[in-house]
Amino acid sequence: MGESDVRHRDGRPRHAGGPAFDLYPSKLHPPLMRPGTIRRSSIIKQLVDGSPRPIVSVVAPPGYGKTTLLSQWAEANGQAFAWVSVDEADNDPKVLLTYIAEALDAVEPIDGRVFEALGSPDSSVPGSVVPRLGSALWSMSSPVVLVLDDVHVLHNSECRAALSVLAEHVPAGSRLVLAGRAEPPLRIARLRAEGKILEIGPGDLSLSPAEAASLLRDAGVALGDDEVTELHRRTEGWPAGLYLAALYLREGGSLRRAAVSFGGDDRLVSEYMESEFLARISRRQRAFLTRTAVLERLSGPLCEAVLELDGAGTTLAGLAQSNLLLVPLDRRGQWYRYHHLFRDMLLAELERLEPSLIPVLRRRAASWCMDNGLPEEALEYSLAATDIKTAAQLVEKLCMPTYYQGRRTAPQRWLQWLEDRGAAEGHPMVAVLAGFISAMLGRPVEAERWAEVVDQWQYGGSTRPDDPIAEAWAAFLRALLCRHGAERMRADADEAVHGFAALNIVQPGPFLCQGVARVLSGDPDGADTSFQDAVSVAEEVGAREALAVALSERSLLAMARNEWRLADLLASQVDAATREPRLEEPVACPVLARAALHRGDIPAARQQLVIAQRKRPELTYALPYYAVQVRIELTRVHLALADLAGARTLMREVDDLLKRRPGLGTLVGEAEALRVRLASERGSTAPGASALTAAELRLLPLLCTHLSFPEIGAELFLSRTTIKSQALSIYRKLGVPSRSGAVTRARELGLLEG
Amino acid sequence: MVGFRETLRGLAMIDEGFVKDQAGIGLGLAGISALDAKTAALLQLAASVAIGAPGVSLEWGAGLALAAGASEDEIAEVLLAIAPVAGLGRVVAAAPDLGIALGYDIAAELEDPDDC
Repeated sequence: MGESDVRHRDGRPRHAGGPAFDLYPSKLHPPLMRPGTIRRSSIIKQLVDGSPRPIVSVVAPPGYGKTTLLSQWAEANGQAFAWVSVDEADNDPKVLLTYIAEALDAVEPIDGRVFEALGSPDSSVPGSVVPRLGSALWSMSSPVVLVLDDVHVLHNSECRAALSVLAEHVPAGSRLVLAGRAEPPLRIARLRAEGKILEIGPGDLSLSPAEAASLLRDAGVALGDDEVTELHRRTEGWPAGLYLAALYLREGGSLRRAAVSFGGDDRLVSEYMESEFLARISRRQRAFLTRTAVLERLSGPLCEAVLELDGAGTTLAGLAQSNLLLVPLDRRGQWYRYHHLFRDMLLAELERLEPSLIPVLRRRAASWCMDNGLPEEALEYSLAATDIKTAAQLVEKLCMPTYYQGRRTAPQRWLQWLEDRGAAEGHPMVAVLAGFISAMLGRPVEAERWAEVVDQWQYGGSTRPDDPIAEAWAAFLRALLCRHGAERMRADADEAVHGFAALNIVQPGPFLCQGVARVLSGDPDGADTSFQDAVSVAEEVGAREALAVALSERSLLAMARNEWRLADLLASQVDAATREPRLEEPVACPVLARAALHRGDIPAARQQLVIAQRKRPELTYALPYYAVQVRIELTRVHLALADLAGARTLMREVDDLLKRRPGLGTLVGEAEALRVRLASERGSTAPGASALTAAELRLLPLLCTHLSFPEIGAELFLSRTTIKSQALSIYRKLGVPSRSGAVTRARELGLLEG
Repeated sequence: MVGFRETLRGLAMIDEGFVKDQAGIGLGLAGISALDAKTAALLQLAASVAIGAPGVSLEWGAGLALAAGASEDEIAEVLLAIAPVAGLGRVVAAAPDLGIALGYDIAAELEDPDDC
């Protein structure tokens, strides 16, 4: 792994106050400034000495020196800087926010709970991660400048919403700096009105004639004053234009042609690049530049592999020495990237000259990355090269680990890409994995669709496929989704248990499914055995979530037998398994709540109910038995607390779930008995916070953002009317008259964090 | 003194605490003992529909009825039960708002191209 600048956290336990996945440290530092870069002293002075507005936006087209300005500020200032160079891959909120957390943590250690939420696959971004990170930023003890460079590449709405929330948590004396080609995703008009934002635009970033003269001088071009003035006028002080002109002049071009007017117009620059700059350099150099432009990051060995050319590393080193268009990513001179503007142009040129070579180059890059321990980069190059086979193999390998790192967007994007290209049929594991991820994300429709693709593969053809691994996983998926009732689930779970054993795959999941299936088919003793197996396997492989679920199920079985001593013991094991670091497992909530009630600790029981409320929206009919079982158990707790409104809300959801999945065995009878009991109970029927429905609980975290109701509606695929009605219902149940009041009250109750 | 904004907002969203404190109207079912809570809540809802109360009143009333133990089916049948007395116009007008209160957006569903 010496070739890469990926940071590994080997030896550092997951969730222990650090990121769950590998980071590129180069993204966490300003790019290194070369000697001779024009100093933007006047703007830096304005930033350092001007009025301390908490938000700074730097917005200009490419080539205006946004990054240069901020790097120089970071070098010049004694203040602490936390830096994140944002790129396309950061369109996963947990990835982006991990980088931000890591950047802040490097300045001053931040609350480890931020990393816990970031590393947990099922933590809510607006509900947990953003509030924790916001509060970490707010409580930094000394001023910090948090720079996010290239924010224009962020199109993910959760990422954009997160930035607007972070902007509200900048403590006095600190700064949040957002730089990019387009206006940052903040409520700019309001920030302007409140005088909280300093906006730096192209007008501020253009070079003065004196700065232009200095740039040309440093680039080794000697021109008279009039010539400099003319060049400055033509380029409108656009630094990239001036620099390209300098390169051109240095190569022996004429001043008249160098001074074409292209103040900031990409298209004209592109034409200029094509007709002048690239035309003047050697064929070899041109081939090197355009072909390596397919690379996101360049290193000598990677360039050699992609170009199949010995000595490419030396060319890269030479280029890095002489050319400002290559940005160094580390201090060892191993990794570089092209300046964005330059790369776009080179790629356009490659597209024009050798389009058929592009996928070939990308495949070579993928192959090199695979051999050098960079599977995710290999996957991205395979996707770009439309190399479906390699991509499918890499997705099979990377999908679940990535999901368990807490990153949801990337696996979904990969799977969607494969699906769009019809790859799922030929790669059954892809469909199986997609089914698992959809189920765990609580998306039943998607999960069902994938399960059908798997069924089609297994049973749709005339011959039965011969792929025991995929078949064992397919059986596990079928059991997990329980689409065809308890008996079928039992058969599928048994098949999965045997299949995994035959293949020596050690996984607690099939045992858990087997246990649940046995509960549903009225075999509690058999179920307990399966759950015991699940506990052993989960302990063996260190699967905390599975361990907590298996222990919870055993405790519930003991409660049903009225063996409270054992139930309490198992509940205390559940408690231990979900502490340090904190794990919020929905199935554990009713267990811990019922155990608390049993020992008369009502506040502890209520606390578990609140956690269960936070987690409940995820429990959909994608995993129908958990969705129903947890609600039934929670209903018992609400009844014990004489909260009829809360109990009824849960039972209504149980009824809805059973309509969709009626074959849930013993749970059907339990629900019916509870319904009868509910009709005769006395207690409070005033709908308060406990009566918030799953749909309202899903909306609640989004009320913390600055998204409007229609925008929230778009996020949740609901109409504005529905959102408005749910919001009003939330306000009433929380007894508040406004959205901000609801957020405050929900925080007090523990329904929201922060 | 409560400002006009608070007054209008408190009324527009039926903020029960506000209505009780400022308008002196207790919205609970205190004093009703012969009727059970569910029946009383369904009656309130029926009356709201009959007088052409706005959507927010129906959403509020439906929320109370659900918490008092009424099912969605029972709430929908309130419309059928009072149609002969209140008139078709009133119950037709109430249906979409009641749908919203029960998490069923009729307008959105009618618009949905994927609904088959």
